[in-house]
Amino acid sequence: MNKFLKYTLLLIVSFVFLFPILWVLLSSFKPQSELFTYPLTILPHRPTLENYVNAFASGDFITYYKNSLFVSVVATLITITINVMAGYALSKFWFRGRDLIFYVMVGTLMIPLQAIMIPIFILLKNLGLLNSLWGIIIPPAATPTGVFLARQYLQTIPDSFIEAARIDGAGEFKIFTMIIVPLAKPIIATIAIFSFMWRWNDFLWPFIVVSANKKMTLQLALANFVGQFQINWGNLLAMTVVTMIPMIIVFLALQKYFVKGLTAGGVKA
Amino acid sequence: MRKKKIASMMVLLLLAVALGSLWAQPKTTLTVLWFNDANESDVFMATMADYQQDHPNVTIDMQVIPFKDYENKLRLMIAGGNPPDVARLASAHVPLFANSLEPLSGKPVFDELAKGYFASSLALGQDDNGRVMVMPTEATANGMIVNKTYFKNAGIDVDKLSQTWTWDQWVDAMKKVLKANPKAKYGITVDFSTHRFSTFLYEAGGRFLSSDGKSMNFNTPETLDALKFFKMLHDEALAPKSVWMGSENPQELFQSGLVACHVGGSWLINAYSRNIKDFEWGVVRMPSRKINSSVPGGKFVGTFKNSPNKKEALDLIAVFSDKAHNEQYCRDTFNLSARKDANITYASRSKDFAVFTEDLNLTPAYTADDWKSDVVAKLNSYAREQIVEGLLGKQTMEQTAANIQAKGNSYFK
Repeated sequence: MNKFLKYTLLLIVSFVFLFPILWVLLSSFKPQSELFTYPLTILPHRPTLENYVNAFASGDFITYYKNSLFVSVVATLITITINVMAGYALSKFWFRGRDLIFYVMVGTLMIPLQAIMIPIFILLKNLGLLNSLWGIIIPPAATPTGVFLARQYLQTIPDSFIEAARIDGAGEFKIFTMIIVPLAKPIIATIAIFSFMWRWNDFLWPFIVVSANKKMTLQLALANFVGQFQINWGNLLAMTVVTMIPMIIVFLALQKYFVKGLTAGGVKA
Repeated sequence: MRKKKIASMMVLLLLAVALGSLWAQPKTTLTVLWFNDANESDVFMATMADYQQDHPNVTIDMQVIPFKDYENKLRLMIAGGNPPDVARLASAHVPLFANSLEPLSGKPVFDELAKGYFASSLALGQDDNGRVMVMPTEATANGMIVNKTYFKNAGIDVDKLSQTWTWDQWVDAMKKVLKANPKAKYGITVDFSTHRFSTFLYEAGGRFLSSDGKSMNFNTPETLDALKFFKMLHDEALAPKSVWMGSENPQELFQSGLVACHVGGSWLINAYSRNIKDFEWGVVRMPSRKINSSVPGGKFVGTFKNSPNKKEALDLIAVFSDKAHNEQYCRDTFNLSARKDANITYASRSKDFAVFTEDLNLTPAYTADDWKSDVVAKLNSYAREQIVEGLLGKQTMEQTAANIQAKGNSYFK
């Protein structure tokens, strides 16, 4: 009975969370004229693919999709590399000013991007990174949140592992790649999910960097369906469904590590 | 001998290539910053196809930015020293960017072109000194769109009645319409915008600024009449509270058949033609109060003082603003033209466009003077908040009018 209640509750909560996604999915198959019929209907009366066809015809969505995938995958790889290395250095090496560096790094989280938009724009312009995908990828690659998560997690790895490897004659790079990285799998998965999700959904940074249509990411292209006076709901719904797919795949692939990575850093070894 | 011949031919060929490259015009890429409601950027490119053929050295780099963030992007580009060569602007943008725009007045080609445009449209593109800063691409007019099926069900010939109707007659008609159509919950919905509310303001004889534009003239009995009428519409449940006091989209309410009339504007024809299949709809004349009035608006194109390719940008704007290009653009984007001599046959709905034009022709010129002012631009969101406070009953409409007047006065100091 207890189990029954628990699962019923879980089913209800899941339904509450999944319903908006399901409604978006079903509505994306409704013709424009059916989107605003009253009373509202869940299932489309005349299912059609016209929203998908129109949305793909309204812009170069294959290019936007490729751009978003390239930015999200490459930026995530760079972010993981930098964050795990920085987290390792800040948790396992002692050097003067180590904690100060860490606090300054975490302190940058308090500066909102909106406040430094113009200096960033000028910097990117001077570096020749405007209207380039690398301009979206490189500058925000070293995320303070990722460094924080990696540092907290790597602190839980006993120092004796590293000392034993040093006694066995392993170099620092070998210790990092052969011992630290395999042990850090859960936190790498967590950072990967966070980074991919943030990069895939990010609007503000690509908005600053990119204005050329060929370099647009999906989120920028999606926002273009909302005009001054009109919103193209059909296209918007169809492309929202399409943009959700990679997120769902990444989350399903890495979910078993996700909770472990988030909670493991909470206990100090 | 043969070798000599080949060698001299090679020299000649090289010379020709070298001279050719000296004479060849340098390649220019014009960045055009745009925002879309529907497919305006594509239509712009199609309209300028002949220009591109005639100017093979010029490439147009169309950059489409979402409208919500357009102002920020443009500010960012200008502040960062990287303004676009050409930018599309809404009328509300013009006072905000007037200092950065390259004036078009005083340039013979634009002085000549300006003669072909309606003064009310040009006025919205002028700075405080009356200089034309941007050229109108299309005009917009506020007005009323009705669900004709609902009126028919109530036995009312709305086309006939609306020729001369007043707001009192509209209220009477609406009571019959709502009774005859149980699905219709409300009589009217008005876009959540000070600009659209100002249609009621002007019809009641009110205005924002004095005739010389140098002081506020908002807190008047006429304004109060408009504000109180607007509140009555909400209090009597003729208008849904969910639009001005919530976040409901009026277009969706009208399209779903929940509301019989929508005070929006000419831009809606495009969307409603695409989306409404379940009932008959059309544009009718705005009911009159003290006068008949619409509110002019529009979109514009301009270039900036620091644009890298200003000469080519001015050339492009001039070509885009001539009669043929303007007509093609307005026809294909389903918009009213701001040109006096435009003669456009739309693929459909020409009659509806004509009604908007009729309303626009009756509109006083000071409506454009109000909306080109940077004081009204700054006052825009505050005025909307204050009207909502009045609708919610948190303050009287007298207080609303006084607050808006006081805020406006503070911008003149």
